Amino acid sequence: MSDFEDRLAALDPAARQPYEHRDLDSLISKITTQPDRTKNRLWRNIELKVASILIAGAMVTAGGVAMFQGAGTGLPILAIQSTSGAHSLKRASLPTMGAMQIYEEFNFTAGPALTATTPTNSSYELQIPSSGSNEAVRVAKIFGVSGSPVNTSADRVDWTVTGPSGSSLDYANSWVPEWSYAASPATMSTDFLPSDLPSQSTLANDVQSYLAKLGYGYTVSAPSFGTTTSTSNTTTPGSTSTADVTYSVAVDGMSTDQYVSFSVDANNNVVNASGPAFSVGSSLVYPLRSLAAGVAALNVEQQSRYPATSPQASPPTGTDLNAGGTNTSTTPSGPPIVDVTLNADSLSLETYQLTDGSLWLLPVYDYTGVETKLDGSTSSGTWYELAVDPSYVRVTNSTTSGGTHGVINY
Amino acid sequence: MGSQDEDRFARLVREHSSAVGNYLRRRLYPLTPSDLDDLVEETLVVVWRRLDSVPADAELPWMLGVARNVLRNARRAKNRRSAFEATLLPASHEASAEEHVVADTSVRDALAALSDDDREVLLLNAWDGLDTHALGTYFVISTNAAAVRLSRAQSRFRELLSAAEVR
Repeated sequence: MSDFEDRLAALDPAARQPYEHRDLDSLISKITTQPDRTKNRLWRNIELKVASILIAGAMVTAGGVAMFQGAGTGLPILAIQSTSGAHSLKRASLPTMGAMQIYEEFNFTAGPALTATTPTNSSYELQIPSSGSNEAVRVAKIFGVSGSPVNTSADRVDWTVTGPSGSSLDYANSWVPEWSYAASPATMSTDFLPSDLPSQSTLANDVQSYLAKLGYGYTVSAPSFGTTTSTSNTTTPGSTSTADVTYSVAVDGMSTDQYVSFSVDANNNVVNASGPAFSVGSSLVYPLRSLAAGVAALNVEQQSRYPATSPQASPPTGTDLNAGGTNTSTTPSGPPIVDVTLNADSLSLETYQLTDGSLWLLPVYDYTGVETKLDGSTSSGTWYELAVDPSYVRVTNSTTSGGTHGVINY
Repeated sequence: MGSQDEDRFARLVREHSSAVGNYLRRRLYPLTPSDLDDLVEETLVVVWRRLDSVPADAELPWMLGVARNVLRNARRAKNRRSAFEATLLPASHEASAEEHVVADTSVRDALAALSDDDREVLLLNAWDGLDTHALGTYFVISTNAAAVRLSRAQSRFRELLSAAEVR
């Protein structure tokens, strides 16, 4: 093994604790003896867990969006379940850090450059197509794919329409539904150079044309253009280059956590495309908390993530991991504390699902700051926090137990 | 399905569930071991449903391909911003923070600077142990194409690693 392979292996997150299922016999029996079991239940379970971990930490508890009177304004209160302080997840500073991070606990400070916040902002309910199969067929036709929808997941969640050429349209009817088109490899032009690809403006026009046909009514912003060249001698002989673009879906000029992507080949044929299937419905204007209050909430969530009574699977190593920061946790071997001064902010919209199944785009603060690491180096990152005034949000602490130690993610 | 299918499925689970779990663990840190169990189970449900499609000479890479789709779908379902949101809550039995802090930052930075495609093929080889034949099955490309892709990724990684260590 070469030196770099040794060093890569040393970073393997699974090497220290290889996975072993606790009861394989039961697992095998469970799967093989329940032939009518659809994936829906388990899938949604996973989906909710993943959502609770990865996104801005809001899943609404069973029982719903309580339609209480919020602070005398008549606004409904959003009953949101906090998942172990997952509101404040850091977004990696790209591209230097990519998606790979050492886990740290942060001590946030509001810097002087934070701007004054707006007092209110709209939240938007998303209108979702009522029939996944019908929507799959409709979108498929827009991309020139004609065929019958096939329920690939056997649970009426995932639908696929495949045309005679092999091009297909997938429609995932869960969370915010997503359509995803893939051209048949046989229809793709090959052996073109990236310089042969359509210009960015051509690609942008393509996207606008398709969005108009799709008719969801949302706009897109912040395009990220690129090119991809892939080589295959099994599906499509030769190399295939595509011009790619990803947009953030925007609502009333604000970026959201929804994205639209398109790729076209040298002949300006769409090779891949995907995006959310929703239109914007009703909106409510909620008061927002202050930026400073949002920073305070970030700190509270950091602290709640590591309660002093957290169980310790690994004994402390005797090294003081705190480096100058204020350790608010008494956990003896918790993660290192890193000071972060937040100096920029913006407002965007994140998707939250409410207990009645409705999906909303709620305003969140995006904070950008510089963290000083243990070794004195610095890097930037962004964190986000629900901006809606807490008096309009009912947060229930999750019973999910978090750990106490750091991980590397990628 | 008959008992022959059940026997084969049971063997696949016993032989490869650990590798599938490790694969998922490397790419997504669940909150708890039960979250990881759920993802492994979801993968195995698909394997059971499509048992006839599992190639006899490439069972593990085929199963990892299923796990890859399980991850993609889970991420797609929750959000399309995953590239920007990578910090997860750790499981309670993870290695200590100190172990990670002292980790090889040059390797980590070089890895992070790779393209997604290069990083994927590099780590499938280095962490998941897929050789070029298995990589070909995983990516649905020829062994030769997989070898080229891996070689290029390794070359780029070495370059980035050298640059990181010069800084």
